[in-house]
Amino acid sequence: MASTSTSTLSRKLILKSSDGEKFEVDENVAMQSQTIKHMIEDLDDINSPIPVSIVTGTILSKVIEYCKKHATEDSDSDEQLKQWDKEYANNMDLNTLYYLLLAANYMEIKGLLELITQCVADMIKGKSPEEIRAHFNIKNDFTPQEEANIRNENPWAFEN
Amino acid sequence: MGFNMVPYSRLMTKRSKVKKRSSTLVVSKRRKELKSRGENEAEADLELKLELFSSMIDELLTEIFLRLPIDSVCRFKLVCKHWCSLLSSDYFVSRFTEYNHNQQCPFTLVFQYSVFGPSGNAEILNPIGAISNHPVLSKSLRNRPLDLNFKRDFNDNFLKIEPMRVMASCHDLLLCGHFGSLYVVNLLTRCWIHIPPPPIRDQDRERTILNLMQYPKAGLLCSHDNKNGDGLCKYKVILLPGIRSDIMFPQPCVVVPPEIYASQFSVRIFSSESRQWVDIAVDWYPWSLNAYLSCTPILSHEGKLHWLNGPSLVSLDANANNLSCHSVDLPNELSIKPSLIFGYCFGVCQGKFRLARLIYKKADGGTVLLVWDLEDYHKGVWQSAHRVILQHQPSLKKYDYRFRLMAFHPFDRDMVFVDMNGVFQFNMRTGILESYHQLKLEKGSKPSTSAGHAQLTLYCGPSILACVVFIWTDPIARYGTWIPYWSYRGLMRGLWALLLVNPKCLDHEPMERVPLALWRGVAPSTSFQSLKHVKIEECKLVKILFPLAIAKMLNQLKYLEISNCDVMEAVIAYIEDHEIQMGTPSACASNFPTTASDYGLIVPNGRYAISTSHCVQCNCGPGSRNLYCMPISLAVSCSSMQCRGSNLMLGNSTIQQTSAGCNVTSCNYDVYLNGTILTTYVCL
Repeated sequence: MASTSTSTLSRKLILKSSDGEKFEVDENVAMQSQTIKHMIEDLDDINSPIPVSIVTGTILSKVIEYCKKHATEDSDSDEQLKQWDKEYANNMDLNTLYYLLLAANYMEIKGLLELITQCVADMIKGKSPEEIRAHFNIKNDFTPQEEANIRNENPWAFEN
Repeated sequence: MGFNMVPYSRLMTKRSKVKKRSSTLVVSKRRKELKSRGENEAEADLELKLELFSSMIDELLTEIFLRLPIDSVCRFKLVCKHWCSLLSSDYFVSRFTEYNHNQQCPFTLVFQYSVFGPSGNAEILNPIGAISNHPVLSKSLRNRPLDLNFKRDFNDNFLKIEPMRVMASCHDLLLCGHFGSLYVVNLLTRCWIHIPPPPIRDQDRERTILNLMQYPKAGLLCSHDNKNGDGLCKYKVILLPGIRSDIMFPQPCVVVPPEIYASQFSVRIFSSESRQWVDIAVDWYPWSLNAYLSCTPILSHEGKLHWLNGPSLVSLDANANNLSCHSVDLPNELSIKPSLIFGYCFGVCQGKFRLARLIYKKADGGTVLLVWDLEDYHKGVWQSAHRVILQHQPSLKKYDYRFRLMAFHPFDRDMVFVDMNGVFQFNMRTGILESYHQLKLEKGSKPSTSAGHAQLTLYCGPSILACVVFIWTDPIARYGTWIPYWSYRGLMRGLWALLLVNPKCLDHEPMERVPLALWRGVAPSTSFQSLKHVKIEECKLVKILFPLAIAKMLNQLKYLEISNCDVMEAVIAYIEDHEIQMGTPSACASNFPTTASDYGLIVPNGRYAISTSHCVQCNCGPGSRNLYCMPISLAVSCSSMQCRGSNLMLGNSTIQQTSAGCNVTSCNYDVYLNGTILTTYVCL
């Protein structure tokens, strides 16, 4: 487990998205991703692009935007950072959120993952099952009897 | 090939930390594989993507579901079978519980007014009320009493005659008593379970004092690991011996019966799994269960029961194989005087135990609200958190300071819920008083420890802070009516432990006619034969504890604890029966130093007394004014350093047992710093 952290504070890394787009980022920005951190640890050639295989360029740029903001956290107060997070997440459509979620999970960026999951939860929490099905294009595979059983389990949850 | 090695989505759970090392290996392996395949294989990427979808989508969905409120979780089971199975899985339930433990969750304040009439006997129990900030509960509770009539088969008329009595709470479950029966109720799911009454044991009949307390204090524990068949969590109802009545008898905390001492005591546990009562012995010595503060409920916190017991906070781990207790002394400022069993509040705030008391302080010119937090449970370190002089609070003026503590806010250290003929939220720091219909949930004020009192779980609803408010219309009764000890007179066969507090009530005697000796020849000769433990407190004017005639019966007595007995002359003295009612005859006064425990010892002419240290016998010859004291040889050998003549030493002295006749190995001899409390353990 060779330590690479001391001499490489200002190193640049190149991240390469699944569709071939390349991003040059500071190492401390990229290191917020645990996955990339582990990759670098056993990377022989630091200058070769690091593939972020399942993330497209559009999504990767958003991820990097988040990481940059959070890499320089000392410039902002916690409050400001939260506000920024909120705006950042609110500007995404559901599709983008979905891919960001996959990216954050794959790249293991804890803060981003928390942010997106909370954002999605907030979006769906007030919805009815029918609305959820429409939203996520899910087919109702319950029989009416099964549906009634579930309703009876927790009738209070369906009261409005 | 090799895609099976795709890293399982490592989320920010504790588990992922554990896995980290192996994951790192997997990542690096994969990385090499990717390299070897070449970097532009879009096809492989797509395959990888699909692989990831199927393998981690459930994990991600779970992460999203964790952040949903409980009503959404239940509702979303209806979306599709896949979601339903995810949301019903044990894995999700435990994660959801864990996640919500760390968040600030809704909570419900459950309260019940219990109004006592002028006689102190007639109790009018009001229906249980509740205020909640839970999204679902708050709707149904708005300005209405809690509807406990969940099941149609429960006779509504019964509830009209006598409402349910709130007894204990744990997370979202409420333990209620009604006409001798116990019910566990989930406020949110409206499920409830009837708990059959525990069987009557032989020892209940035998120990008649206990029998009087056949409705003891009850505690409730629940856990959320598995869903139970009845839609409730796993729970346990635990009955502690000791305190009379919470269900049937009208005064749940007025009566202070004799304290029960035991080297072992038995708790009765009903568990939801076995649906049976089991009696389990708890080894704990010195154990004393008493009724002080029985007004405060038994608290469930971190899987254990906690209650105030005399001057300490006692915890019982009812889930362990061998039941064990742990006790923590209360801060001195709040230590319990039996005559002041009201005005206390006991709860948990930010995961720490919190105790408050209203106390009148002359120096402050009024009632002071003192709040202490138990900073270190294991070391027993308390820290003062608030000290509020009520008379200095402008916000309380118009309420005439009719201020009763109800419960602590589980997260906000400044907030306390008080009753002032209505539920209010009082900020102890700012003095702001708010009428309280809906709790405000302050964002960002997370509990500092992970295990807060309030938590939300999937099958269980919001956390409940149960509290009972007692109102006495008769101001005298508010301070408790001591049951005259002798009214138990006929019931004392087999009595093995006894606490007497302020025994001026003996025999209904008027205060001016305080007996010379505590016991007189009136007790049946068999009364005390099994008495092992005696504790006397506040025997202010009692001069002699045991007449010799009684003392001879005490051949089982092992422990004797006396405190606050300012004018006690002797533990044992010979008294002629006919002299008992008479005033003190001429006597010998001692000249012990004021630091000695026997300072002020007076022995009547022609008698002898055994000093409280039990090492000294003092004789007063006929017509003599001087005491003649000498060491005595009973079953204990007194250390000559500490128990010689009048040179009694302060502090503790341990006396080694020397004879087989005495099972007691230590004898503590204590005078506390302020000199008013005197505790002795003597071995007879």
